[in-house]
Amino acid sequence: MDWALMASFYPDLATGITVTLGILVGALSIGVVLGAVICAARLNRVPVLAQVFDGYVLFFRGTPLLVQLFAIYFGLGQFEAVRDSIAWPLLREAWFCAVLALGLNSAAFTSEIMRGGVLGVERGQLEAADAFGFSPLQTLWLVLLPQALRIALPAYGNEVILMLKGTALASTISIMEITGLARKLSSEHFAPFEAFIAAGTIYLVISITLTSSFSFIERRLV
Amino acid sequence: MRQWVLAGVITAATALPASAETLRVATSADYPPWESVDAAGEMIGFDIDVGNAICERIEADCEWTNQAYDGLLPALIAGQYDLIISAISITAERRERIDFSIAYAQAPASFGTIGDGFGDLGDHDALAAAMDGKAVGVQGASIFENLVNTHFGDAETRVYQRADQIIADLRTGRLDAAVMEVSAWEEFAAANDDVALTMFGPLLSYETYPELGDGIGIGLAKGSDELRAEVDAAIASLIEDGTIAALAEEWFGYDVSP
Repeated sequence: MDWALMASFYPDLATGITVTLGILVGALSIGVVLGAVICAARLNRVPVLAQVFDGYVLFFRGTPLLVQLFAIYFGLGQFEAVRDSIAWPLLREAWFCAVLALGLNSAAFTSEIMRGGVLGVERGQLEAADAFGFSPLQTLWLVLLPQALRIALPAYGNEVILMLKGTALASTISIMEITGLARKLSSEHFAPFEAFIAAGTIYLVISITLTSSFSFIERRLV
Repeated sequence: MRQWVLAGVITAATALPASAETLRVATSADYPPWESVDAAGEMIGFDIDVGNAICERIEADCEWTNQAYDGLLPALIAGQYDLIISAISITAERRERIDFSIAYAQAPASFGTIGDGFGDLGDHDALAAAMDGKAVGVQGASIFENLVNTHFGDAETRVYQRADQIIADLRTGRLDAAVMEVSAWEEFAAANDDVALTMFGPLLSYETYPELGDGIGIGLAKGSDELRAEVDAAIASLIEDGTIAALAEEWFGYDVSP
């Protein structure tokens, strides 16, 4: 181990932090919004939509994230219809494919976490709200969501950390985030250990920050 | 009984690396015609034949492993392989980490793209001007990334893990151009005859672009001087008797021997 070389890698790697966090925030946003839609459709057994989302969740939880990323980035580009479509200006961008793939994947897991949270709320509470004459919206906002959130939050914190590590896969489609930069430094200096251990410590600091933020929010909610 | 089995395992495990006859050779078989995997799943290519010829010359059994290019060097340093033969250019930076055999080939490189959109570019300056703001693909952990960054600073370098992914993105239009060895361009052009993969600009030579290094060599872990001497002698004799030239003729259609 060449510690001085490793230390010299940090300024370079730090330029990738914004890219990593950008992909993470983008993917989590898609994940929460789409995840909520999937969760609502499946819990209420909305005809057709529920079945479609059953398959969606099965597919995205059951296949590797790398395969999903390659299917979206390299796979879709094979079809001329896709290249001629209005979505191509976005799909031709590697960052968009990364955010989309990670977002679609996160949506599947997030919807399951939300479902677990909602199902964890005792049915008696909802019946009581009904007896007090709460409207369905009031029941949702005042009774169901606050409790479901508390149940789901620890599992969701886990999902955020998993997604953070998932962003490292973006380097395989030519994005220069933390892992991509580490790969580059490793090849330039032929120093794989120094480069990847330095990158690893940056991920560790980010995930420690995320973990402690989540436990702070959890303490505030209880 | 269990102790005997354990003792057997330990004996086998300790006996293996000690045997001088078996050499663990690794390559990243995604760079035809240097090395690739054929339809039957066998590794074929110039490097494979050269490697086997060297092993024959030094009377060793070669045990080939196919693994991603990025992982070759760490695995070599970690002692998982004895030799890495994967069209690896000998450069000063790399010499700090591993040892190289003498060069067994010289391989020119070139810019290339689909179609002939860049026209006739006679020299480096015209080439550099044409690449201004263009997305140029290179294979990761390769010297071409350094070359493009150093001499074509106005181009946007995009790093791929595999050469075939570069071709895929040239086809989708995500890349405007790419840098690869001439042999790789020719191979991919033949395999993608529905699009016109063409090279453009002057050949990238070792004289103009020192990043290209001192030719193609075999990588060995630091300190394996005995093996390196054997390999060097084998390469010298294979160049001497024309074996490498003959293999080059077979795989490239021209002589790449140094």
